[in-house]
Amino acid sequence: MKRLIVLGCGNTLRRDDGAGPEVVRRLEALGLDELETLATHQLLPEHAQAIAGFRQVVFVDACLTPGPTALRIGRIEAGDLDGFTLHQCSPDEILALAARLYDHVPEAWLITIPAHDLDIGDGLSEEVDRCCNEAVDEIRRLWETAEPLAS
Amino acid sequence: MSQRIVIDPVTRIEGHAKISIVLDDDGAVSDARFHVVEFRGFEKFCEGRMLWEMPAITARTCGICPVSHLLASSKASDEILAVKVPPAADKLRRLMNLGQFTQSHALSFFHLSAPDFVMGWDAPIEERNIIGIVRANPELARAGIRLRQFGQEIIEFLGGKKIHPSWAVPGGVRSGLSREHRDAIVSRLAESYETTRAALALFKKVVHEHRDDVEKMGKFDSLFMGLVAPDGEWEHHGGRLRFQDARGEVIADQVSAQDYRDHIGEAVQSSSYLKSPYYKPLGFPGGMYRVGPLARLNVCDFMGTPQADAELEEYRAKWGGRAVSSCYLYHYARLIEILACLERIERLMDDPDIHSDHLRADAGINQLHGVGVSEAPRGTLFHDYTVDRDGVIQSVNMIIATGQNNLAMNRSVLEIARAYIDGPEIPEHLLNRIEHGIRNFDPCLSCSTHAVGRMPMRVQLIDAGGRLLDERSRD
Repeated sequence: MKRLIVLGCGNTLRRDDGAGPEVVRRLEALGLDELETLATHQLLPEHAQAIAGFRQVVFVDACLTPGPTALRIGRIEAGDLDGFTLHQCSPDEILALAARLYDHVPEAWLITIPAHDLDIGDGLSEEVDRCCNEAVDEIRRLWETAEPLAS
Repeated sequence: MSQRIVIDPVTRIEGHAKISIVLDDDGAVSDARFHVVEFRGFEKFCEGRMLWEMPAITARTCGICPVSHLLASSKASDEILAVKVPPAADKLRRLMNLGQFTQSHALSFFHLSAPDFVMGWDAPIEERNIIGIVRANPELARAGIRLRQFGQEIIEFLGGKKIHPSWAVPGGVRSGLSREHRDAIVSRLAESYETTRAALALFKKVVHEHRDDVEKMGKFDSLFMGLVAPDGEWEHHGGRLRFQDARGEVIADQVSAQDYRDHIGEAVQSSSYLKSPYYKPLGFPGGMYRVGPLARLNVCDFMGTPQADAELEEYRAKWGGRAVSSCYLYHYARLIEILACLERIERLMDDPDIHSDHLRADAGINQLHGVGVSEAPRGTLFHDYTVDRDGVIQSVNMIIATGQNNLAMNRSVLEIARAYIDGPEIPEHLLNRIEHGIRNFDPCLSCSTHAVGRMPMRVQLIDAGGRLLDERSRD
């Protein structure tokens, strides 16, 4: 079984929403062995297969919240599939699909990066750019130590 | 006293629609209408845009079949530039369309329709969805997800992304296929064949065990239309139009896209924003015709690939020769088309042209009018543009597959209602049957309605005085 995969979600043409793919891009630039990455516009059912062969997975996504400016890290488990739709898959639903279809759920975390600017265009705001670096540091620490990410 | 049943809203059809079923004084079904109450306006707001923007803009019409609009728009633009697209670009456009057919048909069959086959018509709505399939038959669910993914990857390999690739352009395409991506496609073909053959076996078993559904789920006479090659071979991107009657006789053949207005009229009904195209020589509504997989398999003389031709022969022998008329068999035709797509993809992988770097013909505005036609998974798609000498769009007319099936969808709902409604009460299973009656066509409006079998519906039985006789609903 492979070690670690990072899925960065978001639209790179809506500024801060591109944080997830940007974290993936920065991780790829590091050239870490045994770290696989996948940048995607949105989560899809086939991502269940993509993560099913790994021991650990980290989802990275931007979120629009009025308050916090720091990234948040949370441990996630396989969720409930009762509300599952083909149009909007959440990370916990992807984990649940992996469990149902491939009999394996990786240890999983969700890193959310608070977005400030979701206007049309590319490039990240200063705060999100900083959070992306922090996310990369956290994932690199996970890769180096295999110690669970701190929530 | 006449009565009326209203299903409102019908989702899974791009948001907003309803169905009304009218009963006569004796309580028998006399009419049924499928209303699309959503207005999008692409034809109007494209006016004033530059021709070169049109493929990328019109691809946004749909999130499931953007490739179809991209290709039809590019072909209309080719006409206006009056260029001959390089052979490599034509083949790569075909490859993308084959990927589009594969992913869209797989979505329709495995994700949306299979729950009815596997879980049963009367299964609780909570179970009759893709999650039900995941629980009941995970192998089928896995295979369906991967087949759809295979088609999407072909689109992504060529266009850079799975949805809304701005890749086909007036005169050709922006980029070719790398050898790495070619090898990746080849490596997935065997599994895709296996999945498709398994789905065909499943559906053959379904229709064998439930032959009654073939008769009651919308079986009626109509015309059929689709593209065919000059020798009558099944087409999906080139070729010309063929119209065929309900007996399987060709009534118009090798019709140029430029001449579509001589053969197709567009009726507008106050009850729906969806236009109702009809075969002009027979008038409205007598000129009702169907498009899409069922029609394409009826109008073609042969598929042009060995496995699909063998399946076509069996299908025609069992279900009506050149005039298969049950809407329920759209599913069967869809699966044969996936097989044809895989064989054609495989054939293209050995064609050296797909690695050519001559991908685009350059030209300015040479004609002020152009029509592009291409087969979308759901049926024939027309883009008709008029420009000024600077290439500014003056007018747009788009005829989409779902519109062309509008009259037939109405008829299908009518047939199903007639088969299952008897008296002033609404049978519980009617909701599921009508839902599937629409889904047979896999309407392009379906983007917002393919939500795991949860199809918000309200059916009311109302008498002529407005009195509610019966009501069933689900959220």
